[in-house]
Amino acid sequence: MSCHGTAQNPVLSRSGEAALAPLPLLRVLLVGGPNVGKSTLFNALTGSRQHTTNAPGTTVELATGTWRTAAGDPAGAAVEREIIDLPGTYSLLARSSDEQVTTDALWELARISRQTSAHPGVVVVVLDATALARSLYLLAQVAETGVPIVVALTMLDLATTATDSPLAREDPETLAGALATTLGIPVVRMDARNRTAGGVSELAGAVDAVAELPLCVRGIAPSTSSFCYGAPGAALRQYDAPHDDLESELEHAEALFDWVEHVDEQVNSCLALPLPRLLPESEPRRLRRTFSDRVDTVLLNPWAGIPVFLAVVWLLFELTTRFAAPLQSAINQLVNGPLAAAVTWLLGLLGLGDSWVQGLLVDGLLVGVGTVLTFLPVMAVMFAALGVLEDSGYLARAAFVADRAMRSLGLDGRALLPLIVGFGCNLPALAATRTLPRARQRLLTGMLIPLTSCSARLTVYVLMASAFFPDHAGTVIFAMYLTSVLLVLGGGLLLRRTAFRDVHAGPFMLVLPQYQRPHLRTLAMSVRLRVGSFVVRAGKIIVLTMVIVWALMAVPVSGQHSVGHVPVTDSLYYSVASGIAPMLAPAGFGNDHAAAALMTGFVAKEVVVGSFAQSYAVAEPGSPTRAESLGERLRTSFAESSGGHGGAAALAFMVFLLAYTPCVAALAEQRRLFGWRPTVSALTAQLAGAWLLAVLVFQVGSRL
Amino acid sequence: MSAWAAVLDEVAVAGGTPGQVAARLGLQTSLVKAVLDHAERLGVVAVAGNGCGSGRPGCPGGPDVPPACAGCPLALP
Repeated sequence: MSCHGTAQNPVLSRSGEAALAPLPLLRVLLVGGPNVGKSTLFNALTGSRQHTTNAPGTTVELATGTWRTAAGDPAGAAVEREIIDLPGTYSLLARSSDEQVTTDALWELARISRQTSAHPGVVVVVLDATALARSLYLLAQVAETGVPIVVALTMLDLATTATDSPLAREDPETLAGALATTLGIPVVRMDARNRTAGGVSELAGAVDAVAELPLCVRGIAPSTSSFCYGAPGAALRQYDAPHDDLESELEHAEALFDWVEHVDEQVNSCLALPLPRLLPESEPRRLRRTFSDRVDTVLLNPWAGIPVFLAVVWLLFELTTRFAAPLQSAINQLVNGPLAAAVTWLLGLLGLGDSWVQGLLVDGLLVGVGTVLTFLPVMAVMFAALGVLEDSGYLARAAFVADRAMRSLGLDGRALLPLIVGFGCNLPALAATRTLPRARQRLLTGMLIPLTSCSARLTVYVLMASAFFPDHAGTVIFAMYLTSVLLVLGGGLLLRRTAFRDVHAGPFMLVLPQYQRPHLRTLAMSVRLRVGSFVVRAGKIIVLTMVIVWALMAVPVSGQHSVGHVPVTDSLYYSVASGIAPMLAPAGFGNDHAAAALMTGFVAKEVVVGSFAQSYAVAEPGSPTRAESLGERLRTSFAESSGGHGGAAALAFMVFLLAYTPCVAALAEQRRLFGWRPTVSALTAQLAGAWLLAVLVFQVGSRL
Repeated sequence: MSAWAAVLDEVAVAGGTPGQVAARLGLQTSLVKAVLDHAERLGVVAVAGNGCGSGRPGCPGGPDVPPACAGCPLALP
């Protein structure tokens, strides 16, 4: 074998012709391990032409996009390909639904490729130059499926400092050439952060060429392949099938790793490097400590790592709840001020002023849109902060440190972050469950997040605690947060013993990525994509719900008022509240005011205080007498509905508010992530659980 | 001896982190991680934090001891 190939080996030398030929819309699958720069490459290839979608029949999110490159000559048309960023995996022997999606997608492409003479797709396997052996092992498995492959070599900027392999310290072009020669397929060195000279056009040429003329990976015999093995119908090595015959699996594994070692030796030989060899026991050596190793001695140490982790989480909490608050307030003022005034003025010009149409548009639709928009800063800050933590490599360390504590719930350390974020806002916390590797773990965590006491509930705690326990308000509020933690732990243990018996903390041999500087462009694109997804999907449900709530409040019951001009006590909404109130009587707060406030709390916990104020017809917020008069009225009505045990009823009300349901926006996000059935089941269980807890608190409290 | 066999033998006898195993054998850490990952997926290696390594009770012993616990000083007789 010649050792003087280049990255653009014989296949690429034909790529000029291939790129000029009119190609159908080719499917390109991006496959690689976690943290190998796959998503960065995907963003570089697609730019803004991308969106997320769920893999068929799963809740696993896939990023898909269009990869467009200019024609090879000025008269030609641009070439477009469909590109899918498959979930990262180290192996096709899947052990999570995300990894299963990757395995299934590859086998599906292999099946289609065998059934047609044309080659409908190409797999781009992303090799991490800092961990070549591990990447080669995945490449070997992909090659066994028989799909056409191009290799993209990444992480070359880190290779000189962050590897124990002498290979990665070679000149990238030389290394890519040696790999291409050894593997017999195109190897393109990538720097996805450099769009002009980062290898994007070379990768496009290689993909198009391989689509035209696929080649086999040298030394790997595909189970079946239409282009290089020629044995259609042969027994497939299905990595997703149960491996009953352990002996043959072990033999196969040994063969795979022999190939990995062989490739390593060949490349070393090409580069005239000393061949790697197993050391005898008497000859141990010490690995060179990288920057990441030195930082990890602090961050992975339990005594230092846990305080650092808590500080980082606190910062995240502060960012989510405080930094975004002024932006939220500004958006709220803009929507409810100038924008609402403008719409009202416009409707007045059209002769619709002070009509039900104005009520629908201003008090229903615009309020709904405003609610969605006010969440944007929270979501954007949350996603940006998470992106920085993830991209820098810290998130993996945090998960490692928190792993032990979360195992009691059947979750691993990665579940801690969404749960803590939930104390700021449930909505981004639900979105943050995407950092968990398994769908069932995401679902379990997503069911527990609504039990975390979001900051919106704090406003209600302050009102109730100040009104009923003025001398111990701080202690009561602290107790509510403690109750929230206990509910999460208790709920987690209960779910693990019932509906989630199959959930176990998977083996957690987390491979820690090297620390690196987050890339702003990738970060911005990631935030934009995720925030956009929230606005489009959850936004529809939020707006619709707000319109329905407006309609309920606009419809009179007595017939003495016209639609849209109804006092709250004559509205259908209030009638429903009156119907619900008796069910709350065993908990001591079976009055119309509390029931109506809880109904509006379903829409957003922030409006509970306003609902109380509205239904008690007290002064608006800002009045110096508001708290006092509202507090007195609360004490009076709660004392009446509880038979003189207003304090116990207030505590029961707060516990109910904590546990009964997240806001409609969080429910919409739950539905988006997990589907209708788990969302409705969780909502039902929470309502029942909250009622039982509230009754328990009141019945015990009223007897003390 | 192949890297696959060497890593599994080393883990069975002495255990350790992937980095330690790599250092003892003179192999690349990424190769050792790949071997351990595949072995774990096949169920012949367990990771600290589960079973014996977690310090939780219930470490299996006797004839049912899994291959991953071979050589573990905490394994029950």
